[in-house]
Amino acid sequence: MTNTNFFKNGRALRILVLYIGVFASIWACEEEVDPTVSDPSVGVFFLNQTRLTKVDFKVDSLDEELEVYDSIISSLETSADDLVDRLIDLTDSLADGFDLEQDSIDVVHDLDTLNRFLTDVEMEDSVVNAIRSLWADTAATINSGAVKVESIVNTKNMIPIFYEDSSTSWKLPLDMQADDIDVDITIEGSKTFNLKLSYSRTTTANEKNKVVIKTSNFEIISTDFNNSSLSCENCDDINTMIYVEF
Amino acid sequence: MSNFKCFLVLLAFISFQAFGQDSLRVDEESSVPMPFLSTVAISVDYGKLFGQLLDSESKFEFGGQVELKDRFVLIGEYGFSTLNPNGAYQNTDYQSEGNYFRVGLGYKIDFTPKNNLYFSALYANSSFEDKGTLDITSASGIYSDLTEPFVRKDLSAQWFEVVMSSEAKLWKGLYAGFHLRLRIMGKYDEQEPLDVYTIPGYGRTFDQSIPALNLYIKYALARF
Repeated sequence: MTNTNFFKNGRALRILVLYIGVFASIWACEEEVDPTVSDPSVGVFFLNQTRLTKVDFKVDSLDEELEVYDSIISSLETSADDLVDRLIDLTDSLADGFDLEQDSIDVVHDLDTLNRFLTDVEMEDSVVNAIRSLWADTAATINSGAVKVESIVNTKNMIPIFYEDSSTSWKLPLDMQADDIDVDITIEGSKTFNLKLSYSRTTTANEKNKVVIKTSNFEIISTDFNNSSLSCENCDDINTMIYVEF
Repeated sequence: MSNFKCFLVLLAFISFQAFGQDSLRVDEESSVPMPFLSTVAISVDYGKLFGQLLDSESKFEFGGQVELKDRFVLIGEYGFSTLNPNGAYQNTDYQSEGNYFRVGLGYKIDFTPKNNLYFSALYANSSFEDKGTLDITSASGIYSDLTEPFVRKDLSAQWFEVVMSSEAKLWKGLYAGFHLRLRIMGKYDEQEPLDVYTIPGYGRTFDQSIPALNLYIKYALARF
C-alpha cells in the first residue's frame, strides 16, 4: 500500500521547523544601518614662517652668545692650566730652598680668582644654553606644523566650523557636491587666510561597503598664504599634502 | 573558487548518499514501453516564499519540466524578485529588481520508486534594473549633505548553472525536493562608479560562482 502521509515519521515537519528556524535567525540578524557621516578631505601643513624666522634669529643670536662664552671659558681654562703649571714650578722651587713663597701665594690667589670667574662664566653659559634649548624647542614645534586653527569658513555659504585644540595634522574638509572650495582659515594669534582649491571627485565604496566621495588631482587656485605648494599634484586625497606658510 | 570547491564537496556527499540508497534496491523490470513524452511537471520554489517576511527581499520562482523517456529532462524556470540586500551599499537604499529565466537539459535517475535524482545544466538570463539614493551627511557641516539618486535600467546578465536535484514523492504526483546549484557568471552589464551589487536570480556580483540551495514542490503528470 502506498503511503500518502505528508508527514511520515515527522520528517517533513522537522524540515519545516528547521527551515523556519533558519529564517528566524536571518530575520533576527537584520541590522540597522547607521547613517554615513563623512566629508572628503585633504591634509594641510601650516608653517608659521613669520614666527619661525623670529625664533631662528633668536636661536642664532644665542648660538653666537654661546660661542663667545665657549671662547671665554676656553681662554680661562688655558689661563688656569698655565697658573697650575706655574704653581707646580714654584712648589718645586720652594722645595729646593728658594724663597718664592710670596710668588706662590700670588699665584694661588690668581688661580682662585680665575676659578671663581670661570664658575660664573660657566653658570651664565649654562643659563644661555637652557634658554637656547627652549627657543630651539619652540622652533621645532613650529617646524612640526603645530598650530591652532580657530575656524574654517565656507565662503560660499558663510557656514563656519570651529576647532578647539592645536594639532600638527589638519584635514581640510572638501565639498562632496563641487569640484572646488573657497574657504577662510583663521589661525590663532594670526590673521585669516583665504584658500581656493580645485579637485576631482569620484564615487566609490569603501571597505565597509559604504559609498563615499574620494578626491584627487588637487590644484591651488589662489591663496593668501605665503609659499603654498602641493606635495603630490596628481594623487588622491590620502597621498596629497598642501603646504602653506604664513 | 572556494564556492566551487564547497559545491563539489557537497555534491559528492549528496550523490554518495543518493547512490548509497540506490544500491540497496533492485529496480523492477517493467514490461510497459516507456512513452517518449513520459512526464510533464510544474514546480514552485516554496523556500523563496519565506523571503516575503523579510524586508530585504521579495522573490517568486516557478518552473516546468518535461521528461523524455523518463530519463532526459527539458527544464524551464522563471522568477522575479526585488532585492534590498543588507550587505549592499549601505548608504544608498540599494534595490535590484527584475525577472529571470533558466532553460536547460537534465538527466534523471529514479533510483527508488519514490526518489528521483537529477543532474542538469542550465543557461540563465536576467533582465533587471537597480536603483538607490546615495546619502552622505557632511561631517564638518560647512557643506551640503549629498543626496543623489541613481537608476540603471535595462540591465541584463547571463550565467550558467550546474544543478543536482533530489526529490521525494509525497503523494501521488506531488513531490518535494531541493536543487543544489552552482551558478557561474557569464557576463553582466557592469556599471560605474558603483557596480551592480546583486542580480535577480543570480546573487551578488562579486562572486564569480555562487552555490545555492532551493526548495521546491512539484506536481508531475506521468504517462506511465
